[in-house]
Amino acid sequence: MILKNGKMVKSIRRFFKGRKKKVVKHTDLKISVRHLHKSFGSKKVLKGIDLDVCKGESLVVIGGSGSGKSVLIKNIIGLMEPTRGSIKVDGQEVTHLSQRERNKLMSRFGVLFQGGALFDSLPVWVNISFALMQSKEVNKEEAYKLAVKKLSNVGLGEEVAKLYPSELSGGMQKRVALARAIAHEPEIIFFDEPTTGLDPIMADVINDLIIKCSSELGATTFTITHDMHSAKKIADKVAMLHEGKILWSGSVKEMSTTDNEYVKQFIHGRAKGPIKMQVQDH
Amino acid sequence: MNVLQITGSFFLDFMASIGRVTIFALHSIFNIFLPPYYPRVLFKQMISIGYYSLPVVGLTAIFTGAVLALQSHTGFSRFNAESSIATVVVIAITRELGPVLAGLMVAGRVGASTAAEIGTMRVTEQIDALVTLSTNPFKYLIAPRVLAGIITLPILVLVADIIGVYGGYLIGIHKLDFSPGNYLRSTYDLLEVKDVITGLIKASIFGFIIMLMGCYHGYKSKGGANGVGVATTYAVVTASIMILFSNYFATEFFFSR
Repeated sequence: MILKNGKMVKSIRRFFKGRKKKVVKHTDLKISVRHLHKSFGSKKVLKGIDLDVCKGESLVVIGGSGSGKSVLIKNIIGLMEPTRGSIKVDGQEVTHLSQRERNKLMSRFGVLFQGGALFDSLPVWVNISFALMQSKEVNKEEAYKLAVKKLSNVGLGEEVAKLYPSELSGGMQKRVALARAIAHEPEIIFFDEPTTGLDPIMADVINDLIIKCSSELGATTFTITHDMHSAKKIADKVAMLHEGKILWSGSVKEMSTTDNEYVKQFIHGRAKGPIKMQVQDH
Repeated sequence: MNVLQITGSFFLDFMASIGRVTIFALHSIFNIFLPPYYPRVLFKQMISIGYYSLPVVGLTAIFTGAVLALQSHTGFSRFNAESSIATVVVIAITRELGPVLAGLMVAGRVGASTAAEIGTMRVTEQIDALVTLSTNPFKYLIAPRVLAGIITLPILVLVADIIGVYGGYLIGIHKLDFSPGNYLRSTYDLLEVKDVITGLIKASIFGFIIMLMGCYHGYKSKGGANGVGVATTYAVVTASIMILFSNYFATEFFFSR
């Protein structure tokens, strides 16, 4: 009976999707974004973004505050619906997914949020194995063991496991958040300003951990940052976002030799140049 | 022209927010019935709404019962109707004051903390993190809280009813010189099952309203600490107003025939 119902749901879903276009597969293309637009009311934040990330590659999107970086990463993760345009993961269109398909896709994603976004009502080990415990893939003891293992991956000991996030320093919270992002061994990891708010040494520790963890998993990574040191360290490819458009993209080497005035101004951190920062509000 | 414009935009905003709340409410009711369920979250919420609200609700009830007995005595002694005091106390408490006062107290205590908790989770991206960990925030955060409100408030109000009547009883026998037996008999004689049941149904509605408003305003909050503060205020104010508002219609529905 249950099986029958399941089948029925599937066929209904197939019926509604009958008009979907045929999917073209690019085997090495992990994420591909085409003509992505996002507006809030009359305010256009993203104005036609095209981006490609290949399998195993690390793309870093740089840009100043207000350039639309956060909105871009949220659209790709699926936390926001784009106004227009297409986002494909492994050739599959991921805008307008159903709840179940979205959950399935999310299990292949790992996300490190800017502030860590650890659940402060739960101890560290539950935080780390949250996704696996929710999907009932592991029982309590296995989850604890797994959390301790992931903690050691990010250079933290077992003594941290039973603490609550509020008892940890900023750097440790970031590490725990990284452990949580990689706990279910995702294919794609998103980093939202991974080094913001950390001292330079801790920032470098996090950069090293990001490189180590993503290469161990063979994961594709998508990072947004305004920290040039971090960008140079973790990127294979860099794209510069300015006022909702990709102004420039290329490899890290190309970035240091480019004569694009926008990129030059940004990587050298000059106040004068083609990019005008909004100094005053309104 | 300008006045019309202001009135119009105010009206549109108002209607839009009613629409948003309605959609949110339907969404959360829907998610109460659909798996996965989170019984542990539900249990935790029931404890935090019910058990931890007992002191404040109990105190409110006992003093309300006591004051009710005192005041009805001043009124009724003028035309020698003291024997009705116990009846007035028990019917007022079970029908109206128990549910409404418990509802208002819980709105202040639990509604505010729910809005603050969920609002903080929203502004620190914890709700986004839930989504990325393949967990539906409506099922994990909202549905258990709303369900806990619906289940727990009637229990809490039942306790409040008992304590409230006891408050009246204490004043009745110690200050107004009733004999315990007489007071209890006149409490019991005219009390109908319907009085208590309608009060408990109201309590369930209030529980739903409180948790819905707490979750809604928390869930939609934005802009850091300030946003969470605003959400908390709105949660308590809207829940309180809606409790008083819906109480009137519930009373009319139950008793006007």
